[in-house]
Amino acid sequence: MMAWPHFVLPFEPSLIAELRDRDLVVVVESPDEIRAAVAAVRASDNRLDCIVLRWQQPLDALEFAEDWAGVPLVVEAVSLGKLHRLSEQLDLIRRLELRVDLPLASAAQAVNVQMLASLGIPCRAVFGEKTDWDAATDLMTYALLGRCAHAPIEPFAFIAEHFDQDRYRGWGEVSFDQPDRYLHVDRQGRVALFPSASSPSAFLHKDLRRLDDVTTLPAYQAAVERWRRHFLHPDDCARCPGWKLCRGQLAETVEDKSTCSAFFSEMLDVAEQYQTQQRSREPKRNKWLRSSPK
Amino acid sequence: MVAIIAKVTEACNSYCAYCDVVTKPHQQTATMTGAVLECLYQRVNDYLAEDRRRSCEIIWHGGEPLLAGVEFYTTAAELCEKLCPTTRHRINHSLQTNLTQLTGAFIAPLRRLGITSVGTSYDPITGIRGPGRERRRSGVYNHQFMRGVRILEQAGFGWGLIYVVTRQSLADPVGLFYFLTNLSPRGSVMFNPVLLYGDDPLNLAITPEEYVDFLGAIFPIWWKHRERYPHCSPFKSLTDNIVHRSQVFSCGDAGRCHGTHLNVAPDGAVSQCGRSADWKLLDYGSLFDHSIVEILAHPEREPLRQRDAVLASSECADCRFWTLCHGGCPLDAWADQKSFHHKTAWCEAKRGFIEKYFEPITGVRYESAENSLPKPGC
Repeated sequence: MMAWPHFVLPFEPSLIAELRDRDLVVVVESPDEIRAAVAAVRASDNRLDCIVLRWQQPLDALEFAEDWAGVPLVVEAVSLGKLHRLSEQLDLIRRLELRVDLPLASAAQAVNVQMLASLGIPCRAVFGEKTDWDAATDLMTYALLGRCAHAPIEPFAFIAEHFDQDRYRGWGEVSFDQPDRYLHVDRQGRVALFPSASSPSAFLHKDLRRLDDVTTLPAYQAAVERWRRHFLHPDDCARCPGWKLCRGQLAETVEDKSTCSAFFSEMLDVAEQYQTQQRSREPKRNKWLRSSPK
Repeated sequence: MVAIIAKVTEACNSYCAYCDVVTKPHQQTATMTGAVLECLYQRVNDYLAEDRRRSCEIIWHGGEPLLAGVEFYTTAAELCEKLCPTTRHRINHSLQTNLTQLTGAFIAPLRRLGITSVGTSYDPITGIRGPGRERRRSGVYNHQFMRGVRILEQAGFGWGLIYVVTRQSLADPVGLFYFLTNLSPRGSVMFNPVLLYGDDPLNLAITPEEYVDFLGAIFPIWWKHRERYPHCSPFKSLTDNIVHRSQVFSCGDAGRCHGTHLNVAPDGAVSQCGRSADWKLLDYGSLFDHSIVEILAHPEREPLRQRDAVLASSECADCRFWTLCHGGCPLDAWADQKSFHHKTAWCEAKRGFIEKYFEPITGVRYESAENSLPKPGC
């Protein structure tokens, strides 16, 4: 059971030291900070959820380290780079508890994600303003229905696993963007509900230590229930055939809603097919064992 | 099962554009009194105690039934427990509310009555529902409705909604279908045509043909994904009855409402249903004066009792869909023809939808069980 809330915060030892008994996602801007960030969390009274490395270069330019083994690590890279250069570190990469996040702005980038996953490296395809939705559809189909072995590709794997006809569940947690799972702290210790918080009004508290009443704050309630605003001020999302999966998660990211709508509509079909397949793969009970003596 | 529509009050906080309760000249805005409520449970207990095979549904209706307040439902639960000690397990309660008055305080008494799912109605189109007789404030209504939904969901209650198809709905049937089914994970929705009996200043009325095509625009999507939208009617109910032969009908299609339904007004006056009470038809007297058995045997019900036989040998004699609709709601027939012994104009909608959309898309042709039996002498 995931303790609530997990905190997403920049690597700032004083911030980490202020917190007690929390699960932390520590964001670092340089690979050189990873070791220190892990040490700071371990030295505190908190637990490490994961380290997020914001790597503003291609993945192949990152020099992976042996002592990252055992550290849950997300690398947000701008692109894959050259696969042959990455392959030199492949043995080490496979030993790490790593997920690679790559943008999905072109068919070539989708192929890169597919290649990494086929090498056994968990990935996340990052949706953005420039997402290539046709490529996303192909990648999603591969991720969920592909027959050859590959590592999970998010957010598709999470969405398909957790899709429930009886209950809505958000999938923002794969990108730490879900206020009932993750709260965000800036360098001044201000607490926000969303990673994109920039204006002062976007912060719940100015004091990191004042968190016990967060769930009672109207802003928190509104954020958790933010999907309902699509129905109060009807927009394209409320009438979207793919709503049951997307739930408006990309409403502010994607301008032309016809593109993501077509994608999530297709994904709904695939997710249902995926779940049917999963159910059919569940091991059958051996009926003869039922009557075996105890 | 006997269905008792308990009209808690005719008052409503919303002025829905198509509702004839809020516009009727002599509204009973008072809440059903404790005396009527007590009499209701006493009558129900007597009825159920006479025959252990009997069961009963009490449908809290209005107006807006939650305007009666939390105390009303607390009292109802207490009276049910006190007056129906050995029969209450055969009483099923349900609630039809616009949800805008729901607060967390209602949850406990509703749960005590055995209610864990409620019926509601909604329209995302501006100006159809909302407070304000002249200019409906849909924004206010929608916020209150969504708050009610949230309270229900947090309490673990289910809910399903009725959507009334008006002329404004015809512009985007598929968009409405997605909007309404997206509102909740299971998306329980019933599409009903608007029924107007007087002036139509807002131009809401639709023809049966327009209703058919509204449904027809949605049906291919529903049929393809019917497991995704399992509770969407009339598609679900027609599929159950045509494909699965389940023979479960709404009151309007069952042809049996003469023996199953009664409406209790806030003052205890009994009629057939909400509309018959609104139109001063089928007056079965007062709950204070008659038992439920007497009410179900009331001579005023005679035209309803005869209706099946009359229609089956006249207007509906050659209709292969007779066993699906039984001529439709007798009150609809009255509205058109001032007689119960006619089929309704909406029969054509049902027939039209099945012939134009349901059968071609599903590939299933409806033949009633009666029609498929060999004829005598064959």
